[in-house]
Amino acid sequence: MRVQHRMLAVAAALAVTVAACGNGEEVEEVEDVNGVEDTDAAPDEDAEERSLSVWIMQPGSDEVENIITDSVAAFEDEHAGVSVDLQFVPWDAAHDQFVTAIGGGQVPDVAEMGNTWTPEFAEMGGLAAIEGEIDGDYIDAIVDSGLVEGEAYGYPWYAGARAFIYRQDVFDDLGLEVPDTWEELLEVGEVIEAETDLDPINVAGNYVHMLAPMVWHAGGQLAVESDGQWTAAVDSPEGRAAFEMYAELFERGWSPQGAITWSSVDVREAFANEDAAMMIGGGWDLAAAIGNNPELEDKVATALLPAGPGGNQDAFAGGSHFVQFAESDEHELGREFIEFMLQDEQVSTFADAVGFLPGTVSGVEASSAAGDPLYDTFATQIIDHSASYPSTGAWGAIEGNQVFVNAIQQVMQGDLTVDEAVAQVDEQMNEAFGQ
Amino acid sequence: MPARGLRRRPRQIAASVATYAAAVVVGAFAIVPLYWMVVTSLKPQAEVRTAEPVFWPSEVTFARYADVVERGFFTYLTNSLIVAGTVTVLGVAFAAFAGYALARFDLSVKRYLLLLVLATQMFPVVVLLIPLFTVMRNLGLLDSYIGLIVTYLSFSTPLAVWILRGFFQGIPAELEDAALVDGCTRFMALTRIVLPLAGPGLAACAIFVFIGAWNEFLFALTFISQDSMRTLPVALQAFTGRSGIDFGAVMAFSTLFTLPAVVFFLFVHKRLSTGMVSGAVKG
Amino acid sequence: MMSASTTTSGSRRGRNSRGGPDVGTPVLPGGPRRFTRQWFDNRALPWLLLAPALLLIFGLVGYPVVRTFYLSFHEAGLASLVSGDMDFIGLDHYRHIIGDPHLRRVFLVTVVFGLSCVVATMVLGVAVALLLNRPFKGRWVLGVLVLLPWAMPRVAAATVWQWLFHDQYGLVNWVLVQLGLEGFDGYAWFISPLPAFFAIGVVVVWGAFPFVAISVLAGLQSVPDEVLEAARIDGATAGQRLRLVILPMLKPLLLVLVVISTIWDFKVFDQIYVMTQGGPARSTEVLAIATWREAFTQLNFGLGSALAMAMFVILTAITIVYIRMIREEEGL
Repeated sequence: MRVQHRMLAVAAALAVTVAACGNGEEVEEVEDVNGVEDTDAAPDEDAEERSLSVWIMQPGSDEVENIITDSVAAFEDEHAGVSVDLQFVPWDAAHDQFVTAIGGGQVPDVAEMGNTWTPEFAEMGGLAAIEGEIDGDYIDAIVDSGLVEGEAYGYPWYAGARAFIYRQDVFDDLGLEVPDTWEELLEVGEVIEAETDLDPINVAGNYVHMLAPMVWHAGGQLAVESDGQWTAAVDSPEGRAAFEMYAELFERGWSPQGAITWSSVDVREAFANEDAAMMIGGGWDLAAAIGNNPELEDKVATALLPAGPGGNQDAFAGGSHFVQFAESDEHELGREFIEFMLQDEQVSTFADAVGFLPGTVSGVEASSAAGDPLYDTFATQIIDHSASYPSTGAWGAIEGNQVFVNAIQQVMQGDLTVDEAVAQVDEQMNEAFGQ
Repeated sequence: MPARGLRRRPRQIAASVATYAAAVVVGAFAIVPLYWMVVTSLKPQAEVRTAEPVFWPSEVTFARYADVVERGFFTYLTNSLIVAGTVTVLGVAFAAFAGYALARFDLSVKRYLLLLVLATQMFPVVVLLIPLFTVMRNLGLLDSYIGLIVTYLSFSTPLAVWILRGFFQGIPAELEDAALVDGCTRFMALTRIVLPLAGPGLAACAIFVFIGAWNEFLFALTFISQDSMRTLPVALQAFTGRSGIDFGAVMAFSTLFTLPAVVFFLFVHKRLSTGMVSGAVKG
Repeated sequence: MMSASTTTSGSRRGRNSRGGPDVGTPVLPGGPRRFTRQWFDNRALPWLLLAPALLLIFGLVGYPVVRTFYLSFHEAGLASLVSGDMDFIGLDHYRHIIGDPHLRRVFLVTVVFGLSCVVATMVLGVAVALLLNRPFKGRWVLGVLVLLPWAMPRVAAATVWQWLFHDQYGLVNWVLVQLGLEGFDGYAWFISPLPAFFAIGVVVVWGAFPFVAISVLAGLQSVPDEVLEAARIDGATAGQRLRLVILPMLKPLLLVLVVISTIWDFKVFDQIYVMTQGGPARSTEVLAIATWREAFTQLNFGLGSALAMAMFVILTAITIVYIRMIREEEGL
């Protein structure tokens, strides 16, 4: 009945708008028809009533969603007359959504944004710079990833770094030690390959956050900045060493052929199905793997990433910023909202639930991960051994163009040599840097 | 003629066997992904992604359905039904009118109109997204069903016009001429004679328009920001989180998502297959 | 055929005057009134009938299309999209497209893949329609089954199919191995373009053939039985009836379906986005994906728009060829 009634209303309203296309008053009326049952959409007419539109990435589970909606409700309780219009943004469509909102001229006031995108949207003028000092307690790498020309655009919300996850039971059986270096990783892998049915460690063609940090491990940089101009640096002995190591792991036959198109999710799945003995992954990967296969809980352990020939063992510091948009009318209120969400209690509850770590050092130390031997590694990894990708607006385009993925996939397919691949990476990165 | 009868029987049997074999192959091809969707939604988590396929769960669980319903499935369903239903009714009506005009009247601009109407469909939808978003913002139609409805109409009507025009051309014009001679107006000839005869065509067209609106994701995501107004395809994204897809939940949601479309198909399908046309024509 | 139509029109009229109350009664044909009515029927009515559809189509899609055309001659990033300041650069984007080996390959791939999908969809669709038009037990079950792929949400379908083709957990490989094709154990469908396109093609055809099948079935049922009966009496075999009677009658419908399938299959996006994202190494990138990548990840809306214009030109050219064929058929 109700559906029918509403369909009629909509149909009638439609007839009106179609007939009088673009007539403002008619349009108002139409919105009223829809608004009748949307009681939670507070009207904006009253001067006391303010509304704040907030975009948060799709929570993916009830638990996480409830934590967010509870926080938002608590914020509304503290701020009389403020209603938060909360929208969850699907992961696959997030970048497109930001582009459309900015390009179409209707942006949210506050949004969660993946930290590799912040410089991209900041540089083109879409985001509002943070006024005043940004609290020193944040994890450096996450603050750095939101810097454009010395100005900070992103408040670190949560962060995560990948570490080394391995099967303790297999290592114990074979009397193996946790590998600290690439050589040891290869040696351990050989033993596992010889002694078990397991793949020692899977690589994936579509897993930038495993590949790119290996350039750091080898002692190199992805790109270097001088006078505000970035220059790609992967076509270097260090970059070649990283790509060679990655190719080596694949060419030893330790991953299925299909791994050329695998992503981190496939790597995790193989580990969860007990097909592989080691993996590079984040705390969220470990939690998801255990979720799929609870028996793993007693069999796995974690360690810091193996260091490369450069003695470096940094992981990519991934995570999310809170950002405000330049076109928003509610900068003050938006800032209050962000500060509310970044309180220790709010942020650590949320971070724990998603398997990430709070964006603050004190938050990490206070989080439940700190006491847990399995997850403590990820905290150490991000605080002491993490770095961010070049903080430039071009990085979004480099990521979107899949520069690293394309190059390594061609190496894995045998279509490019490592030398050609790193040259191609640099060429495409420099093109994005505007050289 | 006994000889002929003997010759025909094996041939008939062979034809019959071939018919059934083809039916089984086609049916299997059509149904396997749907079977996989439904059965996955009922599996315990550990049996969802396995190297050795699990064709039937060791233990059937409906927990995901409860979860999906609790997460607002029926709200999204209502939204989708309102949008897709309105689009179907209006789209088929508009397309039938236009299709008839282009099939029967001798308009000088006909061929250009036909091409022009179709030309709007020849762009990748993504490039139209931002300008269309701007149009919707200026019309104040963001966050409204109307915005989605008119958008879907403008994208499904062109092809629907073409489809229906084809069907109308297949209906002999003599029928209407006779009616006109009898004193019918053109419009009455259309509504009383041509449309009933084009029943299967209208049914096919209705399914086409309905599915377009039912499945659309990009505009629904971009034009609607309130969760309470989102449609099913957008809501389906709720099961993809930071750490990947919750396959079981996606499949449970998709199963519920598919059901109303199936019901609609069954309803329309009758019109497709009752052979009402041949019945009517034969009198 | 003429004779069949005439008789049917007669009986149709009879039926209507029996069933409906008022056909044929309303107006006494008088002089001036009749003239007005004729003017209305022949001049005004067609435009009134066309108005709602045209208003919607051009009213809404008109501006975005013009805007795309405009952007394709300009240097337009996201910032200039907001501010409106952008440089006119003439045909530079088009020159870039012609000069870029990857984009040239994208065009070739799009045309070959698109046309292959059209052919496969049409053949399968028509075959299934003919099958459904045969009397056999369980026909209605099959009739419902073949509609189901269309009812399944596209994104869900692509997700399931990607899974069915997965190298480790996929049903396809498992079935092939069970059939004795050991080579498919762990076979990776998506690591090289040909098998990847095959898998994507299967998904595209799977999703598109139901529409063709039911449309053709609807068309088949509109073929008057008298015509078929006449052909049968004249001694035509089933194959001859199909080739000489049924298909020619359905030709306009089939051409429309080909046009629609072409438009769909050249614009395939969801399936590829979900299954390969254009990879590995961009080898399965088609025009729709390339357009999206240029516009939304590279924020080069000018080049993205130029690619969209190029798709428009290709599809228009193909459609005009089809329309010529229809026109010959209709003697237009």
